[in-house]
Amino acid sequence: MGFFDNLKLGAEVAFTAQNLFYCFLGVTLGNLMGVIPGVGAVAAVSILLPVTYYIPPSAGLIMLAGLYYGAVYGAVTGAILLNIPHTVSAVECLDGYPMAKQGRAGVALFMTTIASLCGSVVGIVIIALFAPPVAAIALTFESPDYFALVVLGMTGAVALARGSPIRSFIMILTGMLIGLVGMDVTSAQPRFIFGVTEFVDGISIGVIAMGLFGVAEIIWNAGQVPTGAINARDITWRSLLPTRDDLRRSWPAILRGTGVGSFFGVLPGAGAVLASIMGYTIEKQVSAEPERFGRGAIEGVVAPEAAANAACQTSFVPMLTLGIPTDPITAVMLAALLIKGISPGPEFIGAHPDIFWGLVVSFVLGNVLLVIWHIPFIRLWVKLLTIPFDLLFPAVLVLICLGVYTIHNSVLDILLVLFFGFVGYGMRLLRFEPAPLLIGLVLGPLLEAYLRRSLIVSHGNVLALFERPVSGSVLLFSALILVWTFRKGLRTKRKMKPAENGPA
Amino acid sequence: MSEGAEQGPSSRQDLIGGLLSVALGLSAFIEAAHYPIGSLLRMGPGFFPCGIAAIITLLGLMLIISSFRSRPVDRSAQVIRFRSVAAIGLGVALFALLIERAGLIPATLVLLVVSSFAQQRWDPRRIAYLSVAITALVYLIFIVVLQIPVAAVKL
Repeated sequence: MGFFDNLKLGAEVAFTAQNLFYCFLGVTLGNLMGVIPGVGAVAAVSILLPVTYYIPPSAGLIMLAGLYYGAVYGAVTGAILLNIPHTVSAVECLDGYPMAKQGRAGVALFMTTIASLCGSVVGIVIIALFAPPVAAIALTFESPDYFALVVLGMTGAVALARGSPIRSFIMILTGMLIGLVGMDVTSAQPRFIFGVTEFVDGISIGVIAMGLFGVAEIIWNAGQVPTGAINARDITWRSLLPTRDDLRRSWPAILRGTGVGSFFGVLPGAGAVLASIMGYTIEKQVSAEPERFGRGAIEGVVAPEAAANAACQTSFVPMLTLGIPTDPITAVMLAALLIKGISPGPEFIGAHPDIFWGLVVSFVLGNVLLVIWHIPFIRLWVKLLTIPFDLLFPAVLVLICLGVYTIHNSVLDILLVLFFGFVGYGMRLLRFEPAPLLIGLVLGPLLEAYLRRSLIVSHGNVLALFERPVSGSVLLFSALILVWTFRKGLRTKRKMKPAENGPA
Repeated sequence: MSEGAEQGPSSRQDLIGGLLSVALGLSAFIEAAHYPIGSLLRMGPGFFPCGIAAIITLLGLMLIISSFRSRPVDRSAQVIRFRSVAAIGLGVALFALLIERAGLIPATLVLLVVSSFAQQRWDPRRIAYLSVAITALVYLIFIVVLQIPVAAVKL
């Protein structure tokens, strides 16, 4: 099938009434969750995860993906107007909020929308052009190669996560341990179930994500998020218009941000958060006047925003072609597909061209929709920001509790969400990031399965893992990343004894 | 976050985090040691979890060691918000208790009212309006439209 036949197939799928509806729903709710302070994209995706059980896989994937990029679009609104550092838009505060204080919030909102659109479109083109050939190459991979790729995913998540590498490493491995809860598929041995029969099927990723990212975040924010002192009437049509100077400064920044984001999105463990931080850092480095940054430089707002959106799109490439999630959100989506009996991987595009191309076309639709939400209807979202978080969080809690209850109609799941909420709150107090844990949760069972299979094929010879060209070079590369990361950590922690340890 | 770089974790955060990691790693190792380990050729169900648990323990030890290194004055210490923890914890626990025994509407109302005690300004009138409105919405979405298998009110 040619490229245009594929697009035609995608359009046929995306333009069905049902898929249009779920695209609209996902994008709009994602945007809403992005705008509301204190509820991030991961919580949004996991709250709506149960809905995907009742609808076809393509509609479910379209909706969850829409939630993701919708939340990335929406989060910047709060960053600019209220200085709220959302995970995906923390760096946009640095220059966006000063712009708002100078009365240029409208320009910042308008230009970030353009930046988001540009980043997304390039990201979508990258998916459409590169995902099929990557999948074709991956078809030749065998278990050792997959084992190596999962190891790379782990080390990438350790190296690129925020905070100290030791902490991220502990989090990934903890996620893997939690991922092992339940019946071992090969030996039928129940593991870590502690006598609870419900644990035999494992703990649903939605439960863990809603606890760590939903309940924990609400406990953290309740009673401390600033209530908005903004006036929706300040955002007039006129105030949206950028000056010629703004445009001149913005377009190269948007292009650079898009490039940076597209690259970081594909990297394992990076995702939109890191992409936006890198977009900002690089923009500041190449700038002729770095002193303007932090005082309302428009480049410092548009570059990270373009990067976040580009990364958000390109992070679908490794998830759909290799079955390896690069961030917590694609991890939840991967789990959603697995529940539907679809395993993303090299065969995915060939076996389900309708789902893949439908998703690609829905990305385009969703982005157009978001531009409509953000330019003609921007005042609606600005108004929403003036609602104090204190008023909203009980409602979000109800959504979480009911959402989790509907997964299996299980009261135990509600209590587990609460448990993981407390764990997540404690982790936050001790400065452990929850994102690597969620990645580990998905990677753990994969790592074990590939390791087992590889060792059976090689008759127990561990060295065979390094003998294939792909697995060998990927494992070597992972080892280099790990050494580099821990040395970088040691340089800042000079006195610590060197005691690096590989994962394998 | 708007002011410069974030501060790294404090030595107390490193110490507690490290101790907890070691505790997690060790207890997981002890549990997983009961499962058959198998051989490299045929990995048993205990092989992988033992490996993971061992590495967690090691990393936890590294974190503990690193906590003894001197560092600038601790300013990143966090206050635990007991009020939020209690209000939200109790609200969710009561919801879990009530949803099947009393039905969706009482459970939702209790969750809304109890968790709202985490707010700074607790305004009874505002909370009453909000709770009624959200409960009505929840009834519409989950009972009327989605028809989840749970009673609205169970007497």
